[in-house]
Amino acid sequence: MKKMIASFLHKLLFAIFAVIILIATWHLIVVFGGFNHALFPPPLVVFATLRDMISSGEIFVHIRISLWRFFVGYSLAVFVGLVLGLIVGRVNFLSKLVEPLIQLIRPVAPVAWLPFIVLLFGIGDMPAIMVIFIAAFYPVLMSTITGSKKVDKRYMDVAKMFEIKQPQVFLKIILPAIFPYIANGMHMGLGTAWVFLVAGEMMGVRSGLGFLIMDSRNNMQPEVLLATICVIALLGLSLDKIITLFESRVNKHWGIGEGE
Amino acid sequence: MFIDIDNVSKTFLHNKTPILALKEIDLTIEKGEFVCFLGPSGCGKTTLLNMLAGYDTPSEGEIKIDGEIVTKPSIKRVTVFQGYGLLPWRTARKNIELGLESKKINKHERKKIVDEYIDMVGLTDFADHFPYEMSGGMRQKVAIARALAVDPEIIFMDEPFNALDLISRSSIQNSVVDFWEKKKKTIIFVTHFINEAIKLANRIVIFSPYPGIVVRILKVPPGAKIDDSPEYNAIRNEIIDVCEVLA
Repeated sequence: MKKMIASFLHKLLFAIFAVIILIATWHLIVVFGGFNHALFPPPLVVFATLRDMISSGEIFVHIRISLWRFFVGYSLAVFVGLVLGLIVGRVNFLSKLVEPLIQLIRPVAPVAWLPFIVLLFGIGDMPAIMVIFIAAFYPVLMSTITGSKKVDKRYMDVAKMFEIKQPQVFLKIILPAIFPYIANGMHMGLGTAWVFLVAGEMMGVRSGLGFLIMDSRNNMQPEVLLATICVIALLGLSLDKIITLFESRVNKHWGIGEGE
Repeated sequence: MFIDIDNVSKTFLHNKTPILALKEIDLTIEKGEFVCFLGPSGCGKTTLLNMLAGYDTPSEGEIKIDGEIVTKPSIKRVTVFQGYGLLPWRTARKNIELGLESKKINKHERKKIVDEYIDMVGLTDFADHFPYEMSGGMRQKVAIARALAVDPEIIFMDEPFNALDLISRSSIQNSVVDFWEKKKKTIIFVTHFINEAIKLANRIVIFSPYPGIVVRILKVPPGAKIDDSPEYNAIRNEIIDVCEVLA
């Protein structure tokens, strides 16, 4: 435990140091690069703007709506990806049928669907949620399929030995057995989905962090734009940390990775 | 007879060439016996155990238990696997309950049975721990308790103590012998340790590899259960002799 804290502090120290270097470099580039401060504001200006956005509460309105869209799209993706992945992974002919389709459709960037979704559903929350859904869906689906195919034979032997019947085999054995895969898919899906949140909100909505980026560009407010980027980065980092914690807990439990 | 292995052979395909893993095994086992399959790796003892347990089928011949041909695993005949086979997402207690759940035993009754068996293997204080929180020896004890809790007719054990240190190994061997003496279940135990076989079994079946055949069947006299007694040394030397002839 002591060792873990020490290594955590060690890492944290380096991370803080790296951020300081980044901010300093930013400042130096703006000052010595001869940039117009109105177009490329130095860090202190951006932080002051961020403070104003926080104290006025404006930023929280956008954060709240973005997070709401994110969680709706993401939870839907996890649920659908998990159920489909389990079925496709365990039924051989389905996986032969579905996997070529996935390979065909997956390379299409989630934002490529955006105009189509807007045409179909109109503007509003739906397009942003759908883009997040598409972005998170594939990693969860692929992981679940892979996991379902790799359920440890020993677990299935135990199920046979105790004459466990369906649907109990699914619920008691297969689903928990592939939990580490699901957690990994959720982790990857979260990262991808967060990346596409901003893109998803650039069209058809008048709120959210992605909208704020586009809006500050239109209003020539680069300090707001950069402040929003800082918020997106910090929120993304926090979400990633939460899911990493969840994933490592699952892995520890399931006896993978750094168990004792 | 209770278990009847009748002229059983097993062939595996390895890179499309058939390999004879077991050749014409004839063996009968009575109810309540404790039989050890002893032999070096590659002698087919685990293959035979898997066929007895219903995870595999003979290429030739047939295996009957209680007059019926074995086709699939059954809750009446449980296996204690080499790698424990515990479910990591269930606590010790919930792992032991697994088989009881499918026997449709009610919750109250289940708890009573689990308590009994968890006490038998000395893990009462660890009932609510997860496998990852337990040592190899403790996990193996949970696996044994799980197998015994469903009150099976036959227990198959496939080198179950291999991952254990000498002290845990000895204590767990004692609990298994105690259990067998009390409940008189039929136990078939695969091992490649001579002294383990002598300590546990009342009959030892010695296998030889390539192809797997039965070379000798020995009865273990009660006196041989005491280390270094003349009977112990006699049977030990006999086994060593058999093995040396094979080598």
